[in-house]
Amino acid sequence: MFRFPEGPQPTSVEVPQLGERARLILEVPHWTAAVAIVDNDLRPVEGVSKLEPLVGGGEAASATVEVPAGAYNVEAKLGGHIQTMWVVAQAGYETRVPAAAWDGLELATSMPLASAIDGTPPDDPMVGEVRRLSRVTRPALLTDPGTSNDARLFLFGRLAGPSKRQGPPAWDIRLVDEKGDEAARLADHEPATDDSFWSCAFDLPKGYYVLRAREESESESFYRCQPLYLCGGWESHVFLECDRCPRLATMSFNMGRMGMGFRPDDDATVAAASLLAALADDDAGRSVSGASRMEELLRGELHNPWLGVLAAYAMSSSRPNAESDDLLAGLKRFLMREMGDHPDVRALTLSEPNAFVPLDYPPMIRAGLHRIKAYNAAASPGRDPVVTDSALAKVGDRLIADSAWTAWIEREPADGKRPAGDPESVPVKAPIDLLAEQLPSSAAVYPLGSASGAAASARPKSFAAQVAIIEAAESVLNCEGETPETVEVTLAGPLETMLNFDRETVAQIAGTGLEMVEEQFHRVADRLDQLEIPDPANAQAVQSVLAAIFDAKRCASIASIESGLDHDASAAWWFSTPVEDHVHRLRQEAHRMRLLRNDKSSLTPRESDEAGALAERLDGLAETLEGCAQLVIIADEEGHLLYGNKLLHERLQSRDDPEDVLERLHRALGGQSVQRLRVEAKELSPTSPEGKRGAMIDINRTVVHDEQGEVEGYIYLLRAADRKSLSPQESTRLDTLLPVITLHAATAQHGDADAANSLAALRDAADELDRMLSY
Amino acid sequence: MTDADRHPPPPGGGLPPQPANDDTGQNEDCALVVAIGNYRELTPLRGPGPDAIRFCTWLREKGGLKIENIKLVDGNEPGRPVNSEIVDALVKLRIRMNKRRGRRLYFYYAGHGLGPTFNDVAIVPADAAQGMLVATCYGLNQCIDYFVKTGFFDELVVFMDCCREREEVTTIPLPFKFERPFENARGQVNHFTLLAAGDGAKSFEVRDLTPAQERKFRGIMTMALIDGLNGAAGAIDSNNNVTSTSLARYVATRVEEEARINQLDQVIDKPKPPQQEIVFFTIPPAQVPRIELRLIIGPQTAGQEIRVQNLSTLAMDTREGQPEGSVITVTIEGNARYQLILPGRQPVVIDPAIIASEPNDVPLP
Repeated sequence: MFRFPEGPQPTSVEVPQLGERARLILEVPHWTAAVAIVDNDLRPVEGVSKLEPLVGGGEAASATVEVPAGAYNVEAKLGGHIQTMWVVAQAGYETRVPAAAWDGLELATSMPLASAIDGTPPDDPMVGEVRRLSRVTRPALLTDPGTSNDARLFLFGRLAGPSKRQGPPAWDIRLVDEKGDEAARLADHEPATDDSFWSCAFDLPKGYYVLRAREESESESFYRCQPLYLCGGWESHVFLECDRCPRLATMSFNMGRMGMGFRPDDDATVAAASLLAALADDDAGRSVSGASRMEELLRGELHNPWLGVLAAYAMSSSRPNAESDDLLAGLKRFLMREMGDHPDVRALTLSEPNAFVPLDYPPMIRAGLHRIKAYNAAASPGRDPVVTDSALAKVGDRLIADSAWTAWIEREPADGKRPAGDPESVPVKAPIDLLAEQLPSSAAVYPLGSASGAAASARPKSFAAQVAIIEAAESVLNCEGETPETVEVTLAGPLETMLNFDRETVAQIAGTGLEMVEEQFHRVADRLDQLEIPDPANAQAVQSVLAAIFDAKRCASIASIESGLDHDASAAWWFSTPVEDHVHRLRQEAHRMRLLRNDKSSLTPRESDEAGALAERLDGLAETLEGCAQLVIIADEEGHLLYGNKLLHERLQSRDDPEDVLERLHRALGGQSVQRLRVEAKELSPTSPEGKRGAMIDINRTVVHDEQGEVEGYIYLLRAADRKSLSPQESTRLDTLLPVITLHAATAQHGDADAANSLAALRDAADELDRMLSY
Repeated sequence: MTDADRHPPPPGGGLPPQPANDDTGQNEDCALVVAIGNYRELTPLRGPGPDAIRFCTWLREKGGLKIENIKLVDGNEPGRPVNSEIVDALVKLRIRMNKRRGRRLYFYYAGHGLGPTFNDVAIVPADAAQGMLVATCYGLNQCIDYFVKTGFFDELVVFMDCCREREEVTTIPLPFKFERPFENARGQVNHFTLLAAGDGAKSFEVRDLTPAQERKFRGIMTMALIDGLNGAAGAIDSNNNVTSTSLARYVATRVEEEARINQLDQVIDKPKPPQQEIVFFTIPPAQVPRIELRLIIGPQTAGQEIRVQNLSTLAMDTREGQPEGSVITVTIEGNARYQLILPGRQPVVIDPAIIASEPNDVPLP
């Protein structure tokens, strides 16, 4: 809805000297803001000047640019907020966008800053109180008086809502050291005189700490952890917003020389607050390079190294140029000199010749973690700068990214002794479940139940050996022509089986990164002694590489076939989906048609009937197609059934009597002594669709033996004899036809247009499938 | 929102800029359309299914794609579709053949998303579990990287209608490893991405639908996207093309406007222009939509001359002063931005993209 704009608007004055050009003057409420302009075609406008403080304008600043006449989209960013507006630049005119036109663009920080847009300090009792407390308070000594307490920490919390009533004593907020020992239980500290805030101060040994606070929301509670590094000879000031509990995501941080206290009216403090907010975004560099006052602060005598840290991160995130490179290099030199032990400084200077490595503590700013990660990725193998088992190495899985800070969540109660930064362990599943999710749908990876006699297997096999047999079943299933009578597998030992695969081949063909494959192989090798089933603890270590091996083998077959083919069409059937997946898809679409049939509000009665008929038809086609698929069963050398494929698994799951079916299968297959056998379906399962219609089942057996010829197991393929075996061309066509069926069905369900056309198209596709499946 | 259809596309059909699929298959355009709404543990979404179908319909009717080149990945049961179904669809597009497949690949996604980094999107599969998202979601950047490096298609167009709330999950790449550019790949891949939400932000579905409108459930971004692709006013450039630039600008403006009307906070990610402009659709000149603005003269503008200028052609429409309360009707073309010039005031930009209903009454000062 177009509305004539209200409130303060841009104004123009004629400047004849501009000729055909136009000038834009962009005022913003604060000199730490960042501005950007794009033209009518979204092209960035170059040549925007740095923001200069407005004379008599308090904290406001302005930037200028000359442009061709036209419409421009102007963006201002401050404290994590972004606003844009269209401005018309007229030829021969100077157009000024007043700071007041940016409604609500303000620097939001938990620091009690003494500055405001109009230069008048805000009415904030915390400003004066923090200034007083940070200079007057005698910090508590928490350690042995003999220990060198060369760092000082102030914490200030602004209380709002429930926190005023319950107060800090009800909170669980602690400072723990690198060993996980409690350095300070902060909430026990005496509250301040005013009930609108809370403060405490401590003298501590310099070093790494974690601020750990229990946070609550409507639905859950958890511990949020925030690393802090206290530098010797410096004070660190932490500010938080608190409601029902302290909110670490709102943390502001600042540093000053010991004894200086917090200076709420200091430009460096304000700049640090603004840069922290900007660092949560992608182009924080503009906040430094686009503001003259910011640059002035950084080039002058820097009494606030934390501003240097933030500015260095901001500049590192933007495109390098000679001017900023010079400033950045100077900042890094300053930081290395003043606080070279700080993890953020170490992260910032990783690529410098005199970098402090190895790294042991996580940087306070998340961008530092990204720098370390990028450095690791680029470093040659074996030159990982991160100390094994260090606090830094343990940070990773539980990171939360709702601010610029490095922070992670712990969900279990604190025990006070837990290593700082140790993430919660991830529960593991059984290996087979994971494999089933990772492998081709046709793989026989589903363990069969107790009735099959699996538990009584005479010769327990290692996990790797069983994988080798599963892999053999895959090759038998996918072989062209007759099912082989025997297949040889290499079971010379888990190590050989698992680790003799060529890593590069696995990585290349399976599409998994070589580094990842190497790592997984390494982890498998480390745990090789424990690779017996069932040991779910190994699942995480082995599943990736096993899946990669499977995929590699499968794809290697594809690649070898593909290389001998002349054109795509004949090769495509090698990429075909297992029939059971098509069956599943057809049943899904039948289900969709039933849902549609019941949606009386959007269909005519005739369309509703048509949808119902199509549901029945697709179900019928699914059943026919399912008959074309093969059940795969793997048995051990004594005939105990070990694994089945997904189709068998799903069919058993849908039965009331799976144990009975397995028992019948066990008896029938265990007694089979020939390669091919035809049995009545009702012998195996009287209530199955095949059993009910009196069909016969063809069973093909392949003997699995090792290099010495010793029988290691059997692979059985079962298929209804009255069902067609699909040709490669038909499989290829199925791959095209099923997505078309899905598209028509989904269009009938969700499309804005009349469903009749989609239902008719779906009927045509079903007709084609019907013809294909007719024997 | 009940006025989702108030921004009608131009009447009749338009023209795709060039044949999307020629007889030789050299110019084949393909699409992978992923709709995930049936989350097993996360909040289910109703918009992805209908939205994906709207996009598929555009692909077929206006984008010029063959139906068999559109791979729709969706699911009707909780926990579907999963990652392997996305991979399966790519395999069906013959990604394993290591050969250039065609001119353009569209990738559309509607579902839950996360923002693992400021410039990435994690695609959350339907079987994802709360608190166990590590190494579960495909990372958009890694997917784009693969397509750009391989040259599977000459152009890659990505539309993502999902949230990007910050959660530092480790994303996973597609299970294909880049070795070398695909056979017959044609140099640098031109890619264009439009994300429904900025870094750390949410995207929304329309709200407050009546039961009869349930089938019209849709995401705000997709609503704007489809209208834009169909050539809505404000989405067309001065050459009457819906291009990557004009579409991006339209969707950004429209989403912001619709979100504002619905009291939601959604701003699309600032799109980066592709290396070469992509033309999605061309509108015949006679079908360029026109919009009537009713300027209602206020006390300060009574008796003053009012001018409306087309910023593309610079054509000026000048009206004599009128008494307070009278109405001046101005027609603007949907393929240009205008400025409203009132004496003694800074001109105001009129973007057709935000004029979403007619008659559009604009009270003047």
